[in-house]
Amino acid sequence: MESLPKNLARDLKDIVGSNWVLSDRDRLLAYESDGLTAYRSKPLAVVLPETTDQVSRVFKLLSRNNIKVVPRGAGTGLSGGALADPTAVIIGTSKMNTIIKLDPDNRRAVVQPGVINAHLSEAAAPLGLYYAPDPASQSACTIGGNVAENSGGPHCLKYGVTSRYVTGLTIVTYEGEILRLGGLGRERGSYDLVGVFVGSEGCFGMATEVEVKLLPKPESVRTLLAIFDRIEDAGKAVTSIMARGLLPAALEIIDGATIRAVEASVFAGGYPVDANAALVVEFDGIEKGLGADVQKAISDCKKAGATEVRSAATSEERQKLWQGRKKAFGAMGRIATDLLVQDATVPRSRLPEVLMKISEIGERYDLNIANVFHAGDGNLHPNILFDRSDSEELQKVELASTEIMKVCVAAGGTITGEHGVGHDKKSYMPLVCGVDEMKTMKKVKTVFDPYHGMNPGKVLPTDI
Amino acid sequence: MDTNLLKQILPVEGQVLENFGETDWSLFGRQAHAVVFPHSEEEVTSILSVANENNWNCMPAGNGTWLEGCLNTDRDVNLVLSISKMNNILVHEPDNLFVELEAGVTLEQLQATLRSSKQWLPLDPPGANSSTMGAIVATSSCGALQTGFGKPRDHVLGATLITGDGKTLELGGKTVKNVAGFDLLKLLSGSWGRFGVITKLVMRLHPLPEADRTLLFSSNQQHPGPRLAHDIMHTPAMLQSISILSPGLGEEPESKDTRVAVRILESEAAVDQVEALILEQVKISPLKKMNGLESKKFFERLHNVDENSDVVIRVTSLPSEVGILIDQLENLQHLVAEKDGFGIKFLAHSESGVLIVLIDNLKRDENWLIQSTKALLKLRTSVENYGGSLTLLHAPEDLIRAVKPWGSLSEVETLFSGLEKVFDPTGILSQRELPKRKTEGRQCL
Ligand SMILES: Cc1cc2nc3c(=O)[nH]c(=O)nc-3n(C[C@H](O)[C@H](O)[C@H](O)COP(=O)(O)OP(=O)(O)OC[C@H]3O[C@@H](n4cnc5c(N)ncnc54)[C@H](O)[C@@H]3O)c2cc1C
Ligand SMILES: Cc1cc2nc3c(=O)[nH]c(=O)nc-3n(C[C@H](O)[C@H](O)[C@H](O)COP(=O)(O)OP(=O)(O)OC[C@H]3O[C@@H](n4cnc5c(N)ncnc54)[C@H](O)[C@@H]3O)c2cc1C
Repeated sequence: MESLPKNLARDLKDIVGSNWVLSDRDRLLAYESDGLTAYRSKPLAVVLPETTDQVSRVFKLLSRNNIKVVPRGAGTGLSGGALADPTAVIIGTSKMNTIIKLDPDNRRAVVQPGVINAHLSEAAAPLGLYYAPDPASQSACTIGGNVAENSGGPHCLKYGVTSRYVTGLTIVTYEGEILRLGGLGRERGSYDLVGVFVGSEGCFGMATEVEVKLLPKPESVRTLLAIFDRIEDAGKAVTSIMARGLLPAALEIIDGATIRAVEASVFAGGYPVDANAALVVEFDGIEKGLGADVQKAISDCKKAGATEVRSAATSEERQKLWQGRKKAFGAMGRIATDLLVQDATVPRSRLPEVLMKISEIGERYDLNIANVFHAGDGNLHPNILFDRSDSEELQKVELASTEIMKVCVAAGGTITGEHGVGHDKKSYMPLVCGVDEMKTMKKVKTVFDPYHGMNPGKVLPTDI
Repeated sequence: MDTNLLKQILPVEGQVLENFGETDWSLFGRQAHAVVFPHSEEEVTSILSVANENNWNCMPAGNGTWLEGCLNTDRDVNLVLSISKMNNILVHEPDNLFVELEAGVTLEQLQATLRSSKQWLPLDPPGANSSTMGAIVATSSCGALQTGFGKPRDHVLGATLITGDGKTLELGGKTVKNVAGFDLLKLLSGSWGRFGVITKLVMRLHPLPEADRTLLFSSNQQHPGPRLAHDIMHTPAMLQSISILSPGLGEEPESKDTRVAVRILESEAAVDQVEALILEQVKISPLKKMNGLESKKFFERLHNVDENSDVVIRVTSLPSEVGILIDQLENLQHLVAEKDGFGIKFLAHSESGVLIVLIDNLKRDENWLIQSTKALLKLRTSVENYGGSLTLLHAPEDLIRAVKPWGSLSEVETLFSGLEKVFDPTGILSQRELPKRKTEGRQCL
């Protein structure tokens, strides 16, 4: 394994402090993978700066030494985006976790990238405000990671994904240049630099300050849980609810395998274990409008074949109805050593047919696939359960995973709805992107990162 | 310019226009040699290829109603490439809330089609009836609804772009969530035709709200417009638009007061409750309440108020600064010839921090240019000091040249010029200049 040259280590420590340059093997262990544990690699070192200025100085030093950098937030990513090879240095944001400004007058916040998503909403709550994008990992993932992945979440069905909420950025380029992009009410020139940076997966530069819009907390929330014998019926209920013009805040499906995993765990929420699907439907907004919407949704679920529809009256009951959705990943961790989460997306009316095909793929490869997903957005999350040490099984996982993506693309969808391409899906990019499109993406990256020092080897296939 | 080359590509009568009325397709009185109307993407590609071979400057267009917008150039445009004949709605999947269309479809045409499925595209740009969807996206034009629903960028799911060098790029897809690769789609909104011709769009749709209600409030000493708008913004509900209207704007007879219009788009069951919450918040009664079509028409009229304006400016700032900026408009009053009572008019979408300023009757004495330039640059400096910006959308050519459409780009100049080179390497679309470029700072690999 390569090691960090002594003089470079010293210079880096001069910038960030001696405790915040990690290079011994044991401490690097925590950085060898993100949430996708199938890929592992230890970086050359990890540097933990605290300010934009420190990031800029660190980048200047590393780029002068031709050492590539990989930004990293909480490492909850599910596409191997924060994976660094042994010649690259990870720049972690765990010390950049200050909420710089909460500005209720303008309903915005300015934060450092290491702020945990849920912490921002907690801090804004006393002002009656919250940050809308809510990845299921929100208690751990960072705003910087969300920006890089353009993350979604259960409530993005109604409120939209991260890019809708990021109004301004301070970024540091590989060469250490500090650039301010956008800003609420700041329209210099007309090209949407913030828009193109969001979702750039750490390949354009590092976000060191993020300005986001906050929303007023909705007056009321109503949550339903509908139980089905067949997952296709849950999919049909989703289509009917949306087609009649309702706009729920969230529409999430949990399949039978997931229900049983959750119910067998400490997170049990009281779902019937013989059910084959559960659908969480949530409405929020003005109290008066909600009752009618809830009744319509109940009727749609029943028409689609729901055997039971539960409704939450209190906040505790609401939490319980969400339990199967929110704790699904944790519960699955108990029944399999490894988990590969796909997040292909299809137009929602194609859900029933695509779900059937996924289950058929699972059977054919003799793999356990559990589905728990953002149904309203057509954003699937087939979780393939496997054991990494079984090389034959690992190969089957890859084949099944490729087939699932192909099925979704053929149904008019895409290979990833929110987890990003990262390292994991770059070889699948040609399924959805032509060569000219990928070459143009590379050229746009080059505009931001002419020396290709940012997060190398991610997103685009190597031969582009 | 040998237009026969174009006629070989575009064989149908009327596809190549050489003689047209003086004001049609004109750019500050100068006309292009020809306007072409391709019917297909293949034709667009062929035209760009001939244009590249012959070094013709091209300008993409829709219906050509706003070609002078933000224009600042010394270069003559040889060819206007209008995709207004590419105007078919290709696929509408109501269940999946998206529509795929050719970019020459007008917003009005689109809304009419969607209405039967009780859906709509919640965008209300100025000049909406005649605006093509390609142009709305290219200019990122939007009105009051941007507060609740966002800008064109937030509605585009996919697009086909034919770049300056004739490459066809299929960007995005048909789903709301899509993070496969870098988000080049975002670059189309606000590209003003500089990155290529948008030929197709996939737009995200919304259910048509059951109730459409506008409350119009009159401001007074205790409740000046910006204060009132600010109070309304803090109503504990999602409001789709809050606009401040200067005297003389909107209605007949023209009002002498500043007013605030709030639009509520909700279910029948919720609309009264939202209204009650607003009234509880501001503790004054509305001057007028409009429902349904009346509410819709009120905003349509409002968005066309600049039809006869000599100068149209967009000032952006933090929502909390809108009031201060409105006060500063006083410094532009001396630019108006014979005040017909109102002088400078404005329309502010306050929660979005957007202020549209209109000068209908610009003074044209011997000092007009110096005075107007001085006043606008001074206002730009002041707005920028507040962290905002001033964009000169429309003005007489001399004034646009002196003030420039956009302010300084400062540190992002190289990114802008780098992006232009990616999409238009030969520079045939570059007559619409953004702020002056520095020489290239960075070397690409
Ligand atoms: C249980 C679980 C549930 C999940 N649910 C969802 C969900 O509902 N929706 C969803 O979208 N995702 C979900 N995810 C995926 C993941 O949480 C998101 O992608 C998240 O945004 C990653 O944030 P992070 O801080 O962990 O970033 P990391 O994993 O550390 O990094 C992710 C990427 O961002 C880059 N990056 C990080 N910080 C910066 C920065 N400051 N500047 C530039 N680049 C940066 C990295 O280089 C990397 O490419 C889930 C993950 C788990 C484990
Ligand atoms: C009365 C009126 C008032 C207006 N006021 C404003 C205002 O205050 N603020 C504002 O922003 N806009 C304003 N506009 C412009 C308007 O909102 C739209 O931008 C406009 O209507 C464009 O429609 P069009 O099809 O005529 O576009 P055109 O005039 O043909 O084109 C407008 C611009 O978009 C580019 N473009 C057009 N089509 C394409 C395409 N397919 N691909 C790439 N580029 C393309 C052109 O190069 C040009 O730069 C106004 C329009 C009218 C009619």
